[in-house]
Amino acid sequence: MKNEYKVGITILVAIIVGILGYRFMAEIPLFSQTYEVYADFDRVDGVVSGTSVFMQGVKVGSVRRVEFVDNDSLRVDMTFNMDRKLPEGSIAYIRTVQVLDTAIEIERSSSTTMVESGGRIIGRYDEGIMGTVREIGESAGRNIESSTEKLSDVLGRIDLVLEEGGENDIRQTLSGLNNTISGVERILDARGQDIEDSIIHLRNTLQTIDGLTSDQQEQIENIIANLESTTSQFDSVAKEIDELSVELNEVMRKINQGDGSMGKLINDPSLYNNLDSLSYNLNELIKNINENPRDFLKHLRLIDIF
Amino acid sequence: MQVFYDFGRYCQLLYQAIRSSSELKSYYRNFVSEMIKTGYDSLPIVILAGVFTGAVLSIQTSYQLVSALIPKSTIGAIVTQSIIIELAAVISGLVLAGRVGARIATELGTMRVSEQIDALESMGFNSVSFLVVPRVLASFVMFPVLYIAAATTGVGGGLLAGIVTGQVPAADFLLGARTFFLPWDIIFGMTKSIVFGFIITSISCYKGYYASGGAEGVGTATTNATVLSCIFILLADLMLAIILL
Repeated sequence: MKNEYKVGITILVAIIVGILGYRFMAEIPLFSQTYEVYADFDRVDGVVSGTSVFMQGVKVGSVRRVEFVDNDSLRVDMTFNMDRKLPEGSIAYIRTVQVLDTAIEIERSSSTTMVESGGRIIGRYDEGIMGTVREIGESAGRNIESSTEKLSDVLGRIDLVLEEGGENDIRQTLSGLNNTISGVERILDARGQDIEDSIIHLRNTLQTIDGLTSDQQEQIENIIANLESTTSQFDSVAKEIDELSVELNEVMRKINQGDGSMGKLINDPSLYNNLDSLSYNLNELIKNINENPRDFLKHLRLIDIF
Repeated sequence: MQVFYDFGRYCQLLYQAIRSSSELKSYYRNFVSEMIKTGYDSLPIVILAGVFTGAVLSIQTSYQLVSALIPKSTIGAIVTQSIIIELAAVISGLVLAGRVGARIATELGTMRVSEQIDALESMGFNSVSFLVVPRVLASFVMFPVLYIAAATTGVGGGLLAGIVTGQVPAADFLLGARTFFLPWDIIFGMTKSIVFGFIITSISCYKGYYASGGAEGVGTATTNATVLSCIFILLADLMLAIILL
């Protein structure tokens, strides 16, 4: 074979293999004409050349090109490797699948008119799971933000306290607490045996009481019965005291009102006044007798006296 | 200083090649025969390298990605992307630096030390258009062909290895490969292969064309051509990744 043939065949085979390989990798039908449609989107997050196109869960094609068009929207060209054409009004949704991967999902309309190759279908951006995740993330972010603000407020206050000499106070408090704890430890060290003894003693006492209680249960029951009967007697005595008290109250009321001899004696001032004047007159009389005994004694005779 | 001298002489040779590239009649026969030697004859080694690279990549990726959270299709995506973007061009470039680069440097070096190039010049032939231009142009045409061969067999090898070892079902492999496939990746890989082809043939031609010192000089020129080609392939790979990605 001449060299020219070899070269020609090699290059031709390489070109054919290259084209077929490219169509195979880009999921373009190897020999048949491709069915292409496009859709316009406002945004195409994650859609690149090669992004898979699904219909009813089956991969039916891939994105060939993404480009800006005049009105700032994005045109996505899709090639399909299926025999059927899409009906007019079919919608292409951009969706996030498997958390990070983006795919286009075609929803067929019920129209009987089909879109020819190179035609247009409706494009919609659907946030899907990532949208929900984003919403949750945003809400969580707000919560974290407010929590952080509160935390920083608290920390600010703590700073303020520390700046205003609170540090020393805290230090003193801590050292005081340390001293107290060490004091308690010392006491426990020194008097530990005593405390243990006390506990043992208390336990013994309680055991004794327990024993006593079980031994003297009958007597205690008797005592309680006696106490009960005594208490009931106390009740009747209390009743009598009550009645007495009522009567006493009545007497006191009468005395206060000035009823009866006792009442008048206490409440009527005339007796007091009489007694007072009598006392005054008696004083005067005694004074006169002391000053002038003769006036009174001249009428007296010793003989008469004896 | 030697570096600048070499670079200057290399640029001069390229300038002469570009200036004489219109003399198609003088190099047509050589051009066809170079395409055979560079492309057609290199196909087996490139296909072999592609199949084994793809297979090894597929097996090792599936060995490393053992996780319930990572779908099997990821292996297909990784293998395909790696081969199309990087390995098909670089592995075939490195293999061809040894195969094509060494051959060109040896051929031209031997012609130089046996004074055949001087004889061509004395007969009024433009030696650059006769010897250098067809080799460099042949690489422009055949390296993309070799890239397509390496990429196709590489992806095929990866797919086959996945099926044979039972690590990746064909459907999963293809799903991943297709999901992350971008036409730009092929353009990028092909651009790389053209650049690598130019690097290999031009450096090898330069080293062979200016070889001196008898048989030993030819050996040195061949070694230098291969080593320099490999180094500049890796450098160009980095530069292209920075510029084009």
